[in-house]
Amino acid sequence: MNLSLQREINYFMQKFKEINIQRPGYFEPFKVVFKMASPIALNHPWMHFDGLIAHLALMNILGRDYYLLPAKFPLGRALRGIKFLEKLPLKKTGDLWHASVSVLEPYTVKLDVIYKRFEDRWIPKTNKKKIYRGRGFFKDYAINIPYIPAITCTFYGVGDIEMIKKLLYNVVGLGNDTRIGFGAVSKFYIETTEKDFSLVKDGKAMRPIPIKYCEYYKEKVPIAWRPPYWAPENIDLCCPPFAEIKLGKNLAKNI
Amino acid sequence: MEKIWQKTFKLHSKSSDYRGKIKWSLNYIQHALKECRKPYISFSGGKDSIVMTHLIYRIDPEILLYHHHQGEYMPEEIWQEIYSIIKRLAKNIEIRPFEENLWDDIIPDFLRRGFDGSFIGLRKEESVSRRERIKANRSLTELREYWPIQNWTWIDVWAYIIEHNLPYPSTYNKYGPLLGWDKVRFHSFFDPRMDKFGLSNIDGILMWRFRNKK
Repeated sequence: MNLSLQREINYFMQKFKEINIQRPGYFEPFKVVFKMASPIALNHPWMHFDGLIAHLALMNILGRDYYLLPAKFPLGRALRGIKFLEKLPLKKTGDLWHASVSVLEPYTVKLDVIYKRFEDRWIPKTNKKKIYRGRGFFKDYAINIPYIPAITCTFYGVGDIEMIKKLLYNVVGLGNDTRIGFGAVSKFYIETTEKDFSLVKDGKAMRPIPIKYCEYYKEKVPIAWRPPYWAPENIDLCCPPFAEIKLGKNLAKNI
Repeated sequence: MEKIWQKTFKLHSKSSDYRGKIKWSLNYIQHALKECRKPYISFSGGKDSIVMTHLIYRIDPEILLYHHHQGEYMPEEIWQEIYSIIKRLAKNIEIRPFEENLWDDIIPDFLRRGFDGSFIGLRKEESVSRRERIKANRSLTELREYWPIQNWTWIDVWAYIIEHNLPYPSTYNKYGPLLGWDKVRFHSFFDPRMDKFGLSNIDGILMWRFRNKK
């Protein structure tokens, strides 16, 4: 690891130590509904609410520094000791957050193609007077973007509604490629629910649940089950979302 | 496959243009079999290979079908599907493991065993490089290559599959409606070698079950 990267990491470590994260208050089951203004581009069939809240909490804590995070070194690894994720305003049983994946309605997958084009900022990298855009390093690529033209995106959870509401005000878009107009949110609302639907609803899993927490599961797939969802160490054999499930006794008594 | 496409392909299978292409391909295969003493079929598992294999076995069902396993990026479930297709199509089968190299291991072995030609399901329509390769009659290995369906279009291939009720991998039914039946191709999933085709995003949403299986 080079010196400047180490300095960057130390800067963020220090910043995290100094920040006094507000402790969540009263937890209650809720439902968040996002009304979409444009289709949601995804490269996975769903989004995770705990992942979204963790991302928003980090943005909230770091402010403008969020955009200076070292890109080549995922900060999550350096921050493990600080346990930033322990302080999310969501209920947790064992290691499992009470937060569902997205329920997109209507759910149909469509495809769009965007084109990555040559950009001027690459010029200093070459001494060539002419470049080929048809092949080689500067090739223009046609990139497939699968999208879901959903009208509503619903999440279920259990947590501190006021704190979650504050975080969600920062959401302008959901999913990938929001910079080119995908996944724009027109409005959202939160309402309390009688029951906790964040783990199971109508006998079906609402998020990836490791099989160690299940009494019965119809399917098992190796997928990530806790944030950060990109980290390979968070992958385990899980009952995937929307598969039939019966929770183990320890988890079932907590909902 | 959607009903509208099945109808379209069925209608196309009645056209004289399509019939002419089958006739040409059968003649080409017969000619190749006269030239070659001991050829084999290169089978990838895709739609073109399936059609070519069926055409060849209409003339000589004893030819060896060779399949090179695509490695860790081909999920076991899909591989089992390919294997069942192979077993339904061919009697004489040889499956080589992914670890073996085509140029260093497989081709020298085939040459040693007296093979002198290979049937490959390339089509001119697929890409400029393939068109040029066929035009120049350029084989990639020391074995002479034959391309029986070189003049076929995507619609001819699907029409032949529908007409003869041939089995094909179920992944086509997933990717076909999204990509279009003209662009859909058989591939391994989450495979960096396939990134140039821009398929990894679609793999993520359609084949998420296989993302962490390798």
